[in-house]
Amino acid sequence: MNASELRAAVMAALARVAPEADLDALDPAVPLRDALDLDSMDFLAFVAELHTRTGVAVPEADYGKLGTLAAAVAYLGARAR
Amino acid sequence: MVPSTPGGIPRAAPLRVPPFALGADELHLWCTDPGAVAAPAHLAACEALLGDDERQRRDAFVLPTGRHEQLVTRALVRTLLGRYLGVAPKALRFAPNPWGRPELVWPGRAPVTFNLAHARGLVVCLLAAAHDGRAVGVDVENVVRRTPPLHVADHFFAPAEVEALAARPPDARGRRFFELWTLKESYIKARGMGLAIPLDGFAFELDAAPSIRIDLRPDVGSDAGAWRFRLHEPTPEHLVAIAVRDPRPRDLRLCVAHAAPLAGPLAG
Repeated sequence: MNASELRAAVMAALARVAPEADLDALDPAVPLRDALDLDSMDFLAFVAELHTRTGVAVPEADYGKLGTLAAAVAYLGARAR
Repeated sequence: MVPSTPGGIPRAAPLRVPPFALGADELHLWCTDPGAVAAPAHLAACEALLGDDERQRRDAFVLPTGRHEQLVTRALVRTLLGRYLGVAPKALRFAPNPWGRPELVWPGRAPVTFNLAHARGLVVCLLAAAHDGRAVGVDVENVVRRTPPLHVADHFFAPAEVEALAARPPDARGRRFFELWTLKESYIKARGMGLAIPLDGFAFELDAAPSIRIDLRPDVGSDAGAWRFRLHEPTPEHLVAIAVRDPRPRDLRLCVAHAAPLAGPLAG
């Protein structure tokens, strides 16, 4: 997957866990938890969606590396085939 | 896995205050509808209780509902701890533990242990008297307005829980998912370590009457017998799970009150 495909996958995963959010207005550098009011259930749903869409299983130790849209795309970029 | 022995937190009873005092066998659950904090003077009074770091944390939320729930949550915990500890709510200080959970700064051990949770339409605070080895955790979900993400169970829950969930009739799975999720969150929160505890490292068994059982994988814990759990519905929309570790084999009494910070029994 290239960078734009990964970004699309992350956006699709976010759209699934935060269907009411205005993702077009999402600042890539703002913490997702604050921007989209995600709680831990939303966050794990996001991690599960990313696994399904990109094949990348994110270990708990790396959850902190998915904090923003930009960080999530960069993290997946280093691991997705 | 080490199974817990049956022990109990019987059905909830209404909490009567004052006095704001916690008996050794009591759990006090305070429930607040954030929508009840709406009048400008009430909002301003709640706002005035917050410390600078709490205000910054609140302001980091982009959505108004998130900001408001954060304000009500912090005002509630300050008001309650102020009452139970006999100090001015604004004078209380909090500092994050190594896993980021804010804990009360108190000389020695504070006489009260507590935990907070919020969901759409409800903020809850659970309090108990502090004792050696005791820990409390609480979680709440809005089970009416939220769609249960069942795939989260498949990815993260213990195999026995995934099997039990799949064995339910399809229209009962959402409810069971929320029961398992809130119980798992309440346990993790009582441990104070967040998701550093793997969700598949412990399993709840809900069909083993009379009480809720937890099985702990050895790498997660070996004190399953010290834990007590309870599910409670404070409103028709909300499900609350309560976790208590108490090494003493006594039944605990759950007492529930509904009030907003600086109003009703928490006024003044």
